[in-house]
Amino acid sequence: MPRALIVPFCLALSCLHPAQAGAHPHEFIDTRITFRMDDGGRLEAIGVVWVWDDLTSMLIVEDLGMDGDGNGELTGEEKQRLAAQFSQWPEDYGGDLYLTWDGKPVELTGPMDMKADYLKGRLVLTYLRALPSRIDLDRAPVTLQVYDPGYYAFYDLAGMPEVRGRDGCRVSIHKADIGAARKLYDRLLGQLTEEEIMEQGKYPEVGGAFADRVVLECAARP
Amino acid sequence: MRRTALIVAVALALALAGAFALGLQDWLSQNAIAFQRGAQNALAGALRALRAGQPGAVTGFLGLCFAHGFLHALGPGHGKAVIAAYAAASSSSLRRLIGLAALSSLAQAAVAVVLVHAGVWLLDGARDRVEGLAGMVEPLSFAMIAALGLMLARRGAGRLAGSRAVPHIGHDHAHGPDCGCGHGHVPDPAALAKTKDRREAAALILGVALRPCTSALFLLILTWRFDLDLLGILGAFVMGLGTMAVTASAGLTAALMRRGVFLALPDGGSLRPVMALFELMLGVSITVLSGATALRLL
Repeated sequence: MPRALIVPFCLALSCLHPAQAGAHPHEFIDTRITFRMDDGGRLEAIGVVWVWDDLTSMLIVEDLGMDGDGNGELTGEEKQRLAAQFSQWPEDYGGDLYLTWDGKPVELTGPMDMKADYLKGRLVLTYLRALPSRIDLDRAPVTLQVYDPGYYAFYDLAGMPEVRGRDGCRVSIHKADIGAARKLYDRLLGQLTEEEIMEQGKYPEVGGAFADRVVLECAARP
Repeated sequence: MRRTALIVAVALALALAGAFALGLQDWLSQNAIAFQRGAQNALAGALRALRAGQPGAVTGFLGLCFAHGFLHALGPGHGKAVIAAYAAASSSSLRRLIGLAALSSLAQAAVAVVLVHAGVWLLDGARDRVEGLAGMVEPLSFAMIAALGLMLARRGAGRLAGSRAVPHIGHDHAHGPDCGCGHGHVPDPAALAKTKDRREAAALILGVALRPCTSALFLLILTWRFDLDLLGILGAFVMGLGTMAVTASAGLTAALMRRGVFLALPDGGSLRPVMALFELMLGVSITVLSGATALRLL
């Protein structure tokens, strides 16, 4: 019966809705990355700029009771409050920034030198994340990704990441395969047991699959 | 010969519709990010214009709400699958299906309004808590749909049992309460059918309604903050109208397909047990899937 196929399929769709809703970002953040090198040519910090989308910016600003007159501008005091607010990261928050070097994840400090701004109705955060152990790019390239593991926020790389403090480095961006990521999400979701989702709060950790990969390689110095 | 041709034609049409639906869903999820972002930006612009009191802002806002509801309903979820499934399994009239689609979409908008304003009063408008509240309500929605599935399953089982009852030859005893000859003694079947229908309708409407759209929640929170609550509420209902346009179409298509299949297949009592079995299986699968999801979300 051909019909027997369509309807259960529709059902499966409708019942997978919460999962689909999870795989459906509601926050959009344009991201600008800068690689900062020290005098010895090692990677010492990552400069990050986050620019939120119109609607989320509006929600955040209104949540904090700022911009009461709706003129699209924040006072200096409000900006400072924002920066302070966003500097407090919870214990388990990884800052949505993931670096890999030589096959291993790279440790990063919390946010430093945080500055907040509100331009054309969009919230802008600028800050630094330092590397406690600086890495030598002559040995191996470093890979960087910006993503929310829960896929509620979507980070979009705006422009090519810059390199400051050393010449002879090349940045390349490898685009994510969204179709494959989506399939991976569905597959991983199917593998999780009810208990894992319900009690352990697990979800398919595929944020990285949806994110572009930035690779920084530097020519070996003489 | 003609019947076979008809069956093939209907099967082909179903396959095409399925492929189209799948293709559309696929394309939509590929571009979901861009769409969602565009939709959100447009909504932010409309809200800003409203706040600034720009001329034409209200019409622009309401038009956007309708488009939002419509386009969102085309994507996965939003109740169109539930209504289509119900239309395919039950023998509801087309008018009834449109009514169900309308009620469920508008109820969905009403739930969003109630959630936000309850949040505003009780939780001092904290956005994350309103979203948390919506999350708490969600399992109820799946419980409703599971209940609907149960009702369909029971009806299917009942029809199956009834259709299997062979006509008695020599049925000459009086019917008492302990008759036990394989058929039930029920009150006026038409009235009974009516109550069952109403219960099914309630389950379906609640199932769809208890899953409000996040965009509607955002919209309502922001308009409340800008002292534009009533406009926000209106906007949420206009969004519901947009959703309704899609869910009603989905229900109608499914119902027409069902009628098409019925007309194409051969007559005879042999069809009834198959339909009943189908209804039973459908009901059971809805119950299992929704029940599992409800438990998962609790």
